[in-house]
Amino acid sequence: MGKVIAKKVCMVGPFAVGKTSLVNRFVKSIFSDKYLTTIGVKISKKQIDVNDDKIQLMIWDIEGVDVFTELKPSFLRGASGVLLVLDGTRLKSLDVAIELQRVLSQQLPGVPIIGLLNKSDLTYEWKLGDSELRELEKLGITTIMTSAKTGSNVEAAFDSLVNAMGLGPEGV
Amino acid sequence: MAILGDILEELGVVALEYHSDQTFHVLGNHRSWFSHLLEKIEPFSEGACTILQKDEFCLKFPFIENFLIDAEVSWTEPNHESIRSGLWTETTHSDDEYQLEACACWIDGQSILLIENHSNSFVQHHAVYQKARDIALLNEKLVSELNQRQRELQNEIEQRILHDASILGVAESIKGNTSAVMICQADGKVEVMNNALVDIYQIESESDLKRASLLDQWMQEAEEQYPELKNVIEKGSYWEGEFESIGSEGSSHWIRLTIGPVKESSGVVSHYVCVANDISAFRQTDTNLGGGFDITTRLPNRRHFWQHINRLIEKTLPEGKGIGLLYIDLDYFKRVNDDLGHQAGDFLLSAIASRISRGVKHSDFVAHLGGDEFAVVTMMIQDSEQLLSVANRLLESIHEPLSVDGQPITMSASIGVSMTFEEKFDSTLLVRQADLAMYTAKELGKGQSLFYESNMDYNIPHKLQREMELLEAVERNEFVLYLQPQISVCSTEKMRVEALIRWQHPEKGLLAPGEFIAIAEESGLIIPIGEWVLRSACDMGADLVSNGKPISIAVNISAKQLKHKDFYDSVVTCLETSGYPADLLELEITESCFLDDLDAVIVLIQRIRVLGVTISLDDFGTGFSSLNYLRQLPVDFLKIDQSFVQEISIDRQSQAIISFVINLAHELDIEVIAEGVETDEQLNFLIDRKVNFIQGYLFYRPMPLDDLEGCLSKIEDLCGENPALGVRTI
Ligand SMILES: Nc1nc2c(ncn2[C@@H]2O[C@H](COP(=O)(O)OP(=O)(O)O)[C@@H](O)[C@H]2O)c(=O)[nH]1
Ligand SMILES: [Mg+2]
Ligand SMILES: [Mg+2]
Repeated sequence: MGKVIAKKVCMVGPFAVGKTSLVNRFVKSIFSDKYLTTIGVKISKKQIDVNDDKIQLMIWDIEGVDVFTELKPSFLRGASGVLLVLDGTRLKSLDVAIELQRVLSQQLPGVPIIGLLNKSDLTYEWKLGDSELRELEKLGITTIMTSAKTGSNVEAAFDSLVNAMGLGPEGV
Repeated sequence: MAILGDILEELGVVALEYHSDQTFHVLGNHRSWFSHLLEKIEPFSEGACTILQKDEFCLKFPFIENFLIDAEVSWTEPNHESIRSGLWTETTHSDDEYQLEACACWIDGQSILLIENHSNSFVQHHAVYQKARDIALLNEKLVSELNQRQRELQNEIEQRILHDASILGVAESIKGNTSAVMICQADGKVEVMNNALVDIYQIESESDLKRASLLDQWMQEAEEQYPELKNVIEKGSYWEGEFESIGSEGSSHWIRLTIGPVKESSGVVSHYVCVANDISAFRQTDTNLGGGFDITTRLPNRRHFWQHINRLIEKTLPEGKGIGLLYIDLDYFKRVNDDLGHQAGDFLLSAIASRISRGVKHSDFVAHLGGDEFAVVTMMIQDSEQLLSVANRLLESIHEPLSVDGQPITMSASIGVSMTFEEKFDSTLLVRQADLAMYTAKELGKGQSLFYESNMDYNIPHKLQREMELLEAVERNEFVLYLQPQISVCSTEKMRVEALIRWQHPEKGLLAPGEFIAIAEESGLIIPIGEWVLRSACDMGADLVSNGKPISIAVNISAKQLKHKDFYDSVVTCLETSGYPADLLELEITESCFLDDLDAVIVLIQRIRVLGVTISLDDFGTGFSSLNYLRQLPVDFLKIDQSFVQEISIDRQSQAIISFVINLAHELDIEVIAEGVETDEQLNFLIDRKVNFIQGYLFYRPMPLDDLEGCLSKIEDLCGENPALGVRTI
């Protein structure tokens, strides 16, 4: 018989890259163009079926890091997976993401991180090239292009994180 | 009690008392917003008290569950400091949102959890953050557009130079551009600059700037953040980056710089186009975060140093008192760092940093400029004597033995000294003078301090320029090979020489490797130069063989060259095309070749030895871990470094080491060559210890092939006899 397993995943990244929008798209299938900055943390839940089991994802949407805000390590505690979100139209978000990776690998050793290159619908403004992607790869981060606006790859992103957490169809 | 409850309600706070039976007791009345939040959780009552089960509570509020881990720690800690959770948002089933913050505190011997409802003030709080982030986003966007424009301008100028080939025309078109533009020749000589550049650097006249060699200044300023910069530029590639730059009056600017080379059809760089934008305003928020201190040594860093020295310009010193600067650079630090690893390197830097700090007055300013460079700024100086005595004291204390991982190490440093008594002195000049003096101290053999003198400017040509010259030397083939015989002590086996490169410089005459190999290594030119040496040596050797003189030639191979992917193939090709027998060719490698990838290098060397080529280990004794390695290394010969040989007469310890090394080598079937032998005393000692070959001025200096052929028969006579009794020519 199936059981319900609760798992914590964290949305981490610079501000305004689309973390909240991705959660809203995934959990509620909604999107807004208006930017409403997140302050602090908001936890959303979504149940997904994997094989016979039900997994209750506790998605921690954590305020973006900038000059005013640092990532609070205690918010990461107990996470089984992390979505590190970047904005493909803002090169600077790459630098911040690389900094964050260092914090993540210290606080959550061995926990899978998937890099989301968000806003893939903005093809004309896209700035992240191959060499930037290689920098992320070197840190052991696989990346997926997503768009919270069109919904492209959003489900796939969460699916592959669940997979990487060892819970997916290929997990044992 | 009831009034307290109302006060809590007014403040939007719920207070929970945590009990050891894993329950929370709600203090006072039940808040309405709180019950709304609790939704389906049914608290039970005990008398007047409302009680919540921890499990149920945590399941409902995972954020609080996470916070309780920290809270429980704080409740058990002796100082009982309150901790806060930070803001979070809860959403009810009816989609109402609450902005909350939790606080764990210890009141009157009780563990208290406060939950504060910030929903009312949140709107204002949020508006501030929203505004700040909107602006930050806009700012980022502006910067990104500025960068795009800068790149376009850079590209446009390059294209114009290539197509119109008229620098003057370009100069006219960029005159009023808001981006600063400088076009200089490959050696750094400025050809064009526009007004915006003059503005950033606050230069009185253009001629000032032309002298200042801005390209060099930029390379130095950017080096700390972008260590790859020099390489990129040397390779003739495009570069861009942001760094802090100091204007001629000591003011600091963040500039974003792009450097693009313009190449002639032959591929040679003719010009550099540099475009700069002053981005200080954009960076203002970031600058205070840097700290200004070096992480390893905790000394003020380069930026801090410049700030300090520029502040001094404003100060008025008493009559007859000046400002002195010591520019300290450790000798051979790179080698120590490579040999012993980064950690040991960092340890050494900290140790030396504290020696320097202890060796100067409290009021002096000590900075770690990056890498192995330090600076001391000292005030109230009366004369140069005073400064030099400080410098010499520092040299001594730096030279005191240190222990790294149980290994004793002695470091040395070169110090350049400059000083000024002027009121509004030129800080860049002061630093440059100390730098030049330091550089000269290095050239003169390191381990010493020198006071700046005006003729130093002529003696030390630009490094960049030297590299250019070296590049030309490669193209014009200005190198020659000299050969230095190695005299056999105990047998008459085949004759041996070492091939040594010389640079026939068009103006300066014949230059020894010491004057250019370091530059060749740094710039990567060592690859073509090394290949030339190998090829020429094989050709010479083949000539000698065809004249009936089979002489073994040893060729020096640098670590870079050995690790180049084509190295093995080029050895094979040189042997094949020249027809020089492989068993006459010898490659001299140093311990540093084995450093990062011992196994791979051993495999490579074994492949080379299969060809018949022999290997000798050069400069033995100057590395740090030699004896441990020796057993593993597939080498046929070992060359005792001349610094050891030269200590024979003075130092018993060197004698002991040499004896030990020779014995160990012989046990391992490795023959030993002593180089740099200059005196009879050294010779006798070495013969006594059964060294196999002697190389040095005592017998022969390196000489051209023709000269060598002239004295071959004499060498033959020398070899095999007891050379101490033999004929000597110098
Ligand atoms: N075009 C586009 N805009 C997006 C996308 N995702 C988010 N945004 C916009 O980016 C801004 C910041 O999004 P938000 O989710 O608040 O970012 P957060 O700070 O990382 O949580 C908002 O204006 C969103 O509408 C996307 O995939 N495509
Ligand atoms: Mg958000
Ligand atoms: Mg040699």
